[in-house]
Amino acid sequence: MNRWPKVLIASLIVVLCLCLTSQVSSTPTQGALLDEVLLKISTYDYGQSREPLTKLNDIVRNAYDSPKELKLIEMRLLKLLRSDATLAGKQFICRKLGIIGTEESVPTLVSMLTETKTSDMARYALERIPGSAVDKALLDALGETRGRVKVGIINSLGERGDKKAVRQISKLLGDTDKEIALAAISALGKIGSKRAAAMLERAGSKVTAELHPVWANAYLMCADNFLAKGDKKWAIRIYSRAGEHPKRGHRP
Amino acid sequence: MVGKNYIGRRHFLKKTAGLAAGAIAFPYVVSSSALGKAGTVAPSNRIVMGAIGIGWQGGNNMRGFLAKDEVRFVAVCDVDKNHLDEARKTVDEKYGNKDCQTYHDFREIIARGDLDAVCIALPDHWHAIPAIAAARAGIDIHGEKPLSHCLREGRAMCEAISRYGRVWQTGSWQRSVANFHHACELVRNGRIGKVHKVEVGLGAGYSDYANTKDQQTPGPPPKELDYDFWLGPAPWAPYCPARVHKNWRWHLDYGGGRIMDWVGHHVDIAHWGLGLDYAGPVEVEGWGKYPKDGLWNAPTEYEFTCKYTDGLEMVVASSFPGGTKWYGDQGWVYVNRGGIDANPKSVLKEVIGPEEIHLYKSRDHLQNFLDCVKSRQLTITPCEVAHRSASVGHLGQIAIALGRKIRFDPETEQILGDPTATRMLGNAMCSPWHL
Repeated sequence: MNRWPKVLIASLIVVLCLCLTSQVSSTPTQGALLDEVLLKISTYDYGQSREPLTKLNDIVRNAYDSPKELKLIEMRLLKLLRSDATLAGKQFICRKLGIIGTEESVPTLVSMLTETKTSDMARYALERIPGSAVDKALLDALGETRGRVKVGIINSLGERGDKKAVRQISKLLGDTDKEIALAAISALGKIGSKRAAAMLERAGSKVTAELHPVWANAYLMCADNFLAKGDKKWAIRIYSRAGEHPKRGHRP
Repeated sequence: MVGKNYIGRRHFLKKTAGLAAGAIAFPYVVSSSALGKAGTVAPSNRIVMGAIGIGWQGGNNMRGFLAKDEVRFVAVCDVDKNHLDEARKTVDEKYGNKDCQTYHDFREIIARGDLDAVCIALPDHWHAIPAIAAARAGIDIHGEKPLSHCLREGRAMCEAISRYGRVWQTGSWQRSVANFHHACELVRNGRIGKVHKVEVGLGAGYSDYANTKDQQTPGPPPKELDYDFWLGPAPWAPYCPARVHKNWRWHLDYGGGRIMDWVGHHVDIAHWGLGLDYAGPVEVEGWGKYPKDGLWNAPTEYEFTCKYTDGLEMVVASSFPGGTKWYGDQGWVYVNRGGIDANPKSVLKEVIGPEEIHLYKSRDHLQNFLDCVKSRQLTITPCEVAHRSASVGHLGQIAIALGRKIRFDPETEQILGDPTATRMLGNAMCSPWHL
């Protein structure tokens, strides 16, 4: 039996694999440089030379116009996040992912989101990555967290203006943890939907005097949002009701 | 939280009403200054002020306001106890008493409830949060330039000031100085013809204001400084002297280097001369050099070009002499803190006629703020104007960081067709801080 066809097929497979690899890393030298830099960043700590960080900045900047290169970089950054790299190194990587990350980063970042030490750095990335996968991940994490980690997640949901989060955030308006209640009020103001405004309105009479200015601000932000979108009816409704509220301002 | 010795205005009036009745029974000497005689200001006309951030420029601002008869300073706030002690001593010495209250947390000084105005001078990453909180509490604000640490924070500040009808003045005091005012009036009134280009020089490198450049090794913060509060919304990093007082602006987590240090002065003046106070560029493109190592990471050399809708170009560069230079089809005008120059020289002798454009005139920046607190008019440097000046710097920083041209809609304040650049318009904040 002639073995040549099998050898030919095997050779073709090898060539195909090499082609695929080169598609991921179109410039092998840059890939090697990236690996070298990331290796140094994995052991980077504050106070040490920032040279590997600035080198990564340069690599990312040179790749901004190439989605393919950016994807390669993103994958390598995520690999570092999954390693036992230093927190300082991971923080820097998260901030890069805040600029170039995609929904593919979400599973790795979510694993950091619920941990006190890494939650903020995960949010540096997640808060800016577009897509519903991020919204869902933040919302899922809301129920699993407490204290400042929870506050941070509420803040990120508010910044993203996630309307699907209104129901869950509304449940936190009367939280006994003042910072959680405050974050929830502010987040609803930023989301600014009719449902968010309705939830704020309902909570208005129960808000403590201390939180009242933040509540009034959030409520008015909803009105400003409606006005900007041309929905005068809702805007007027809020402006008039905000003025009627008994706990106006806290200036004597 | 309300300060320990806090007295609300209504409570104060009740108490003083009692005192007035008592004065009939018991002879009571009231100084003429308290009654507003002898050229002084009656207490009812005084502006009750506090200061948040009193380390360097904040201390200068506080002393400037303290020198005004119509101001009554009642409280100071800082996260550094040394700053706080020094400021309290200054205030108490001025009034010859020990009444000045000190606060560690800006939320507490704002919650006093008796402040008419505050002057805020904090690192850039702390500009937005206290300013918005003060506006929410009905307090007028003198805030330092640049207005904000990122474009979205600036917009949020403008919205809060507008929502609560507060008086805002930015510390872009060059507008209150004669040569800058004169230069802008010459340009606005066409003395150099149609302007097609402006060059703005903002300086290069870093200045080691605190002599801490070489103190970059992480260590425990000094006991007088609440370092975690100082970091606030910024990403966590260990303390070292080079990171904090006076030199924070060379690190992009807390400031914006030379660009953001000066944009609120010379770009602000460029806009004023062009009548672009409420406008912004539609395209920004440029380059910058970042240091390869060391703690400070703001660009040390840079040049970026902003194009405006009518084809006008503003070039902002580290290589230009500090100041603003407008080029028209009939000559140029250059202004900086050293004076004013023009070509042809005859332009400098030009008088602006009564029917021509006369710009807002102030010859005492802090006085302008106080006057506006009383009149409820816009100051010479209102929030929106400062936001538009700062936006040029923010967009320049983004274009430099990306290394490509960005297109911007000044109306919606959105970057067009560039999702990566769009992400750079705002910063995520450390929990629990948020706008």
